[in-house]
Amino acid sequence: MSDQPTPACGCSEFEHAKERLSRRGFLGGVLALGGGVLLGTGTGFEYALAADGAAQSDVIINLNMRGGMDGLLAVPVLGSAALRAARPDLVLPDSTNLRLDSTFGLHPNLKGFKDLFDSKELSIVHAVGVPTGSRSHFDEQLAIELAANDNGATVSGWQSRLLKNTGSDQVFEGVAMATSMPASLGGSSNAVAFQSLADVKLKEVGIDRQAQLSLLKKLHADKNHVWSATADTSLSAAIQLESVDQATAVVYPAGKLGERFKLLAAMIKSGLPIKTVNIDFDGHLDVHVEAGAATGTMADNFTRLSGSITAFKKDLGAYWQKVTIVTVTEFGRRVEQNAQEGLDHGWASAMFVINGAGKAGSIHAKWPGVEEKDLVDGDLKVTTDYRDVLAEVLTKRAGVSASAISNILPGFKPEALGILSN
Amino acid sequence: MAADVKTSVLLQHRVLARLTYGPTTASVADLAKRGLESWLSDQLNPKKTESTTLSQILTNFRGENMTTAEFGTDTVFSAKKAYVVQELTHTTILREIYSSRQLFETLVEFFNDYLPVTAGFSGDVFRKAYDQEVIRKHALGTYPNMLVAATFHPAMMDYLNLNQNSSKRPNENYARELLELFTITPAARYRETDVIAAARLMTGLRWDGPTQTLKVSLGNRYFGAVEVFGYKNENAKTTDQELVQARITELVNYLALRPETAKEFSTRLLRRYVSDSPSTAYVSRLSKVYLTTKGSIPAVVKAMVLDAEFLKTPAKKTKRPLEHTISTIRAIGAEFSSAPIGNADSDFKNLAGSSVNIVHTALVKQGHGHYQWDFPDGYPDVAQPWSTFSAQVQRWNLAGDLLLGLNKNFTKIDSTKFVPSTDKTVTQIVDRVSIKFLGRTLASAPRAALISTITKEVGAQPTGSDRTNASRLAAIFVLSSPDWNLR
Repeated sequence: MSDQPTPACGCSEFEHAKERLSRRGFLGGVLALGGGVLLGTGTGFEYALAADGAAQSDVIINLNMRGGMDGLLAVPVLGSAALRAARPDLVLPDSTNLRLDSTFGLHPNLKGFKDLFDSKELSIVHAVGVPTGSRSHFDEQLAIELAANDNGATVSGWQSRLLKNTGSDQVFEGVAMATSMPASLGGSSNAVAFQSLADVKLKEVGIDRQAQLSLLKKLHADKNHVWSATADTSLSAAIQLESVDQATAVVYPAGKLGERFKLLAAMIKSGLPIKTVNIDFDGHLDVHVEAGAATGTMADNFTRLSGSITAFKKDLGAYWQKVTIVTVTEFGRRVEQNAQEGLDHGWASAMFVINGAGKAGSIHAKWPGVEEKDLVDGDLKVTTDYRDVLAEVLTKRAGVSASAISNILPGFKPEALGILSN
Repeated sequence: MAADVKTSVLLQHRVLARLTYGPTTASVADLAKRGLESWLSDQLNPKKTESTTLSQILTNFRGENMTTAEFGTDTVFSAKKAYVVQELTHTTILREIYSSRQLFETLVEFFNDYLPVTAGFSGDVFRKAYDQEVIRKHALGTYPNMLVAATFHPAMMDYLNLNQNSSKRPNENYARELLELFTITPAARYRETDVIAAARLMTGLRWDGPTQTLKVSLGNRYFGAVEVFGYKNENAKTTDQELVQARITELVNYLALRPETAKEFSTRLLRRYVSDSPSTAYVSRLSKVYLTTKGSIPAVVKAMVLDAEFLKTPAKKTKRPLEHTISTIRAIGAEFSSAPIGNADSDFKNLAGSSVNIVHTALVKQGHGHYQWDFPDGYPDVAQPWSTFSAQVQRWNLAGDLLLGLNKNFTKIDSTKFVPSTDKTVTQIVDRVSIKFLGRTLASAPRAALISTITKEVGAQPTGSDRTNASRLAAIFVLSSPDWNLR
């Protein structure tokens, strides 16, 4: 038999993910980080069983900038002759960029983000990323979703471990605004993935509704597989969503990203017990050809990103104060443009941390420089581990105690960045 | 073991659930009659003829027999590029439902995930040609030959920017995925220098619009020695275009025939057909066949199916939305209410009927539309990403849609056709329907629950419309069970 016995959650799938990471040499390695810091191997961990004791905590939204977002176009370093020489077509004049401080600016289409920065609702971390730096979409994406660097105990994504750490166990605590379940919420059978209310309306089949629900539940009673393990959650979620009203006066930008944020706002306002959300950005970030600085692909991406979050804030009203959004991307782009005014896979990028309660407003960057001598294989060096950012979000806004961080980010000793105040 | 397939209904269903888009009454009978080896050899025969009905339908589509160059110069398709992908999607759905070459069709899906070209890029006009001249042409040939054909095809060249790779600042996109996804994978621990060297060796390829042929742009060509993961080429300056292409072919073949590639190929094949986590011994047996046959796809498939583990492996593989949808349509025997061929567009021969497009739309809503995965690693092929709230509700709804006639794109099914008149009781009906769809009865607890629910509705020995209702409910809920979603 090739199928090994699996634990009650039906986790053979996660074994597979783990295997893949292990195969690619991520697990158990000692990784040199930009600043010379070493990430040791973990010694395994156990989930915290009790609730963390914290009072209210934010809805933590992980906005996935899948495809590899160029951090230097989003958050340009100002006045750099080296950057201008390396990517003449992909640097905007300093006067066009929105100035944040004497070192960094924002792309002009991120106007909404500039407003958030000014109102202390946005912090930025630069030269940040995954320490491994394989430049592979797939390895790095899985790495950031699992956020685990231990020796084998991890079979779930970091958002699942966050849910586990809260100690409660309700449907809708974890939400993926997608048709498929991302690895970051993998292993949590109470998490739901969907992107449209119309898709998840359970139709009647000519018998009493209760009889239908009860029979479906009994058909899936044997929980020896992730498919059956998900069924109770699906039934419960279908019922609960029947009362969600999506009507709003706020206009979101056209496209999937706007739709996803609009639906999420309706769900949060309806009182569903959402604790953490995974949303995929909608747009082409893997810009090997014609990245588009002033106009074009990346410029449009920034407009949509900024517009969707601005609309989301407006739509949420007072609920906005209980929301923290963190953007992640698997890698940044090469510093030098290629012959087609595109950018190949690079290493470090930038991350945005948005907090509705106004506890943000700073920039963290151990700036490695963009001169040729500063680069690693032509790429901006990672000097901050993306998990430092997650750790700060978790301790400051998700009610996770410093000692419990190792349950969520196993084998990782975070460094305080100071991007969120108390 | 192979002999058991002739007698075991359970094994007949297991084989057909894994190697086709799901069992039908006819395919179960055919497999039972032939036995596994004979059935397999028929399915792997490249000359096997297509069903007459399907062939007849397919002749109505404009691009069916066009070559790559013809797509490139066709004024009608050039004006409406979106129609190329639309026609490809629709003809593929028709093939998945109706083809008699079912194993071949599943291989076509497998390789469209292995060497994917996502739709929506500027090379869309060549997308159907890619399916025909790269995937279908080689799906019963060798993997190295398929990979060489993909490398030189304008659809792939456009998608992963090989068409724009130049000596000055090379575009690494194709070279990276060639190493990472299409051949040896990062498990081989290649280095950045290997990616760059591969990119350099592949510089200068251009698809020439006026002649619709592959050319080498010497001005964009890197010359000089390269070394890629042990492969060395002096790559001396030349103006011989064929020599340049031969060097690239040599690299692709070298990588495609590496043991690391054999292992990855075997793992992915087993993951698709047998289990999310196949045993290392099973993978290693297939890898050996891959290497000794120089990447023969039918040889590896045959080794997989005739391996003792194939039938022994329990049914724990989650169907992806495509398989689930098509297998449900096939199992029920649902018929499109409008003809598979719709109205003739003024410029085209014909377009598919709206019912065919409804299947496509349903797949898109489940996140599994043909050629729509945004990344070159293909759709995920393990359970977790697909085991979602959204997926479950849509799958539960599908059976009811088809059997209650709620989806007007399909003709309403008379569910009593699943049960012979000799079945009088609800218990008999439930068991008959279970065996028809699953090859066995449900486990005792869910079986009892289903019998009890239906009995409450119509009594233990229903007649007339109650009997119809009982048959329909049995079918709806058997098709809503986890058993129907696993294979």
